[in-house]
This record gives sequence, structure tokens and C-alpha cells, in this order.
Amino acid sequence: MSRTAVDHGDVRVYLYRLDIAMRGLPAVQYRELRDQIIAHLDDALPPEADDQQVAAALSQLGSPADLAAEARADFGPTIRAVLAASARRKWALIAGARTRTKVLAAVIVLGLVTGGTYLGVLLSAPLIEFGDSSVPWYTRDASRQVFATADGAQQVTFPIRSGQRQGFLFGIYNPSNFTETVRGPVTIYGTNAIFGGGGFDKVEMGVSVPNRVVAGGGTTRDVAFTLPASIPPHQYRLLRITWLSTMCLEGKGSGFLIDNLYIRVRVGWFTRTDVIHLGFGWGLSGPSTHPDTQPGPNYNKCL
Amino acid sequence: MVGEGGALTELRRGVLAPCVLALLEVRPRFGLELVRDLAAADGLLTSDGTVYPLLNRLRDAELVTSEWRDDEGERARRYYSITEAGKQSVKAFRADWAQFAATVGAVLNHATPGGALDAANNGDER
Repeated sequence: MSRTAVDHGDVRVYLYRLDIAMRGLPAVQYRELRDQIIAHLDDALPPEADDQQVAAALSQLGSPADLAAEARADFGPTIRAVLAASARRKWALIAGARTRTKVLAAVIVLGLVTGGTYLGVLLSAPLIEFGDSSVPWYTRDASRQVFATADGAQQVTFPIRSGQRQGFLFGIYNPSNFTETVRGPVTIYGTNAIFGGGGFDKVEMGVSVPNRVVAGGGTTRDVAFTLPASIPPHQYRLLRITWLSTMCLEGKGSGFLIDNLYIRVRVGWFTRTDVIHLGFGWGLSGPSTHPDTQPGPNYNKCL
Repeated sequence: MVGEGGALTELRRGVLAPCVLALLEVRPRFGLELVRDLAAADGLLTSDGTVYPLLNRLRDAELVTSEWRDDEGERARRYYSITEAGKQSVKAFRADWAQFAATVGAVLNHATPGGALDAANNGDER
């Protein structure tokens, strides 16, 4: 499978920094710019771009902070002048209208403003956040996890088990004043993109059901999970994700950083993609242990 | 006083929108295509990423529109096209720019009556 720009570690780090820099912007504006940057890199980079090519493309894009500042910038004078002229023309039209038409127009405008405000509030509702706790879902992974500190942040890594199911349990929090409903993982062109790239197949996701302990209680094994799952305002839940690890991590010391989680979330009438920032805390470590056992050119190579 | 780099940066910011509109006046373009055409005009673009927030502002101002195209054999791309209001804006800017550039050029080269007098007083050779 050919790699896309988003699969490259440096691109993922750049997008993570962009996510941080763009915090506070309306969600619609933020997602649109992020999508444009990803499309730009997909166009600018060849499928198997090396580190040097990726670094050059990212450098040419400009720093995430500059990009976010540009996104926050006010309209330039030319555009503002055009808008002002347009507004003057609209006012001249309104001034010349008959009273009944004016009343009708005022009612319509009031309705549109009220509806638009409500839609705007829904669309800009804060995204679901990471709840500051996470553990590997499978005991086998939990027993092999390695704790380390890098750049002042704690990192937890466990070995990839290629061709087998692996997973995490995350705490998540709904910081908004609306009920947000987790719908499931994000797919791009049919590929699971739960962590922003390929290599995570047959993703299964569930959100904990409060007060529904299946048996015994006291451990996460006894919690019931469901999907879709509604999270009321300002409440925490557990999010369980498991997947079939199909990526290839070649060589000792190789790894895959998991820093963002992409999920589909419904708020009011709208379903949107939420990016949950996990920090730089989680990683799968190589090498993969899933060689091709079929005779042929890929014999004994990592799949 | 505006430093050399600062003045150029402000100038670029000011003229980038009309330049983008002028390119879109010729034909619709997708993001990277616009970036490359702007980069080819030396000095217009300092970083590729700044084009996208600008395109979004132009779209919000109804000077450009965008649509996804899925041409055969190509990846799906978002193409940007100029609107009628955008064409009017470029037309107005062209006229203003010609006058503005001439005025600035005249001041910089001491070609205005006041400039010629000051230059003479300062002993500049003309």
C-alpha cells in the first residue's frame, strides 16, 4: 500500500502543532484549513517521499504558528472595501423598498439570524477532549509496556503485534454545553484513519455506559461499551478502541507515534470529525513480527 | 520606520489577494497549482501555507468559489474559480494599482515637484 503525506511522522507532528496553534478558531474554519494543508502536501509530495523531501515541503509551508496567525488575520483593505461597497448597495435596495416588503424582509432576516446563530453555536461547540488517562486494552500489551520520559513528557510504548488485535482504553471528556454523540471511527476513502494514517484495520470502538457494570465491578473488563454513545455536557466516559495491526515497522528501534485520535461525533443536527489530542504519549514499537510466509518476492519480508 | 523586510512583507500581504484573483481570472486552479504559479512570480510568496487562509477569506467575501473535481486518473482536488464580484475587484485594483505605482515611483525617484526641490536643496544629482 502506498503511503500518503499524512502517513509520514514529520507531517503528523506538523499537523499536531497546527492543531495546537489553531485552538480557539471556529471548528469549521480550523477543519477546512487542516484539510487544505493535507491536500496540499498530498499533491506536493510523491507517494514514497523521503525525509528530506517532506522537510522541504513543510518548511515551504511556513510554521504552524504563522499559518494560524494568518487564519486569524482580519480582511485586507481591498476585500474590506469590496464588502463595504456591497453592503452600501444592499442598504440602498432596502431603503427603496415598500413598508410591507421591509417588514417581511425583517422577519426573514430575524429568522435567519436566529437559526444561523444556533447553527454557529452548534458548529463551534468545543471538541471532545482527552481525559488524561489511557491504558493498553489487552493484558499482553499492558505487561510489555515501557515507560520513558522524553522532552519532559512521559511516553508509553509497547511492541506491535502485527496481524493481531491490539487496543487502547482512553478517558474522554465532553467540555461543551451540548450532548455530543460518538458515532464511530473516521474513514478516508474506505481506510480507517483513526490515528491519522493506515495500518489499523477492522477498528472496533465503544464508549462506556455509565452505571452498567456487567459483572463484578472494579475493573475496566466489567464495563459495558456501546456505539453510538451520547455523552452529556461536561461528563467523562471511557473510549475503547481495538484494531488489527497491519502496519509494517521494519527494524529494531522503529516505531509509530500515536498522538491524535480521529472520531466522528454528532452535535445537534451535524456530524463532524473531532480530533482528540493525545499528546506525544503513546507509541507502537517495532520491529513487526508478521513476515510473509508465502514463497515469492516478499518471502520473509515485513508485510 | 518600517524595516526593509517589514515593508516588503506588508506589500506582499496587500497585493497577494488581487494577484490570486488575477490568476483565477485566467482559469480555475487548485491549491498547489496556485501556490506554484505565485511562487514562479519571484518574491510574491514567502510561504506556501498563507495562500489557503487567503483563499478562504476570498471565498467568504464571495470573490471566489470552490468546488471538488474528480477528474479521471487524478486525485479529487478542490478547484477555486473567480466570481463576477471577484472580476470587478481585480478590474478596480488594476486601475488603482497603475495610478498608485506611478505615484510611488515618482516619489521614490524624486520626480514630484516637491521631491525635485528637496533633491536640489540636498545637493542630489539628477
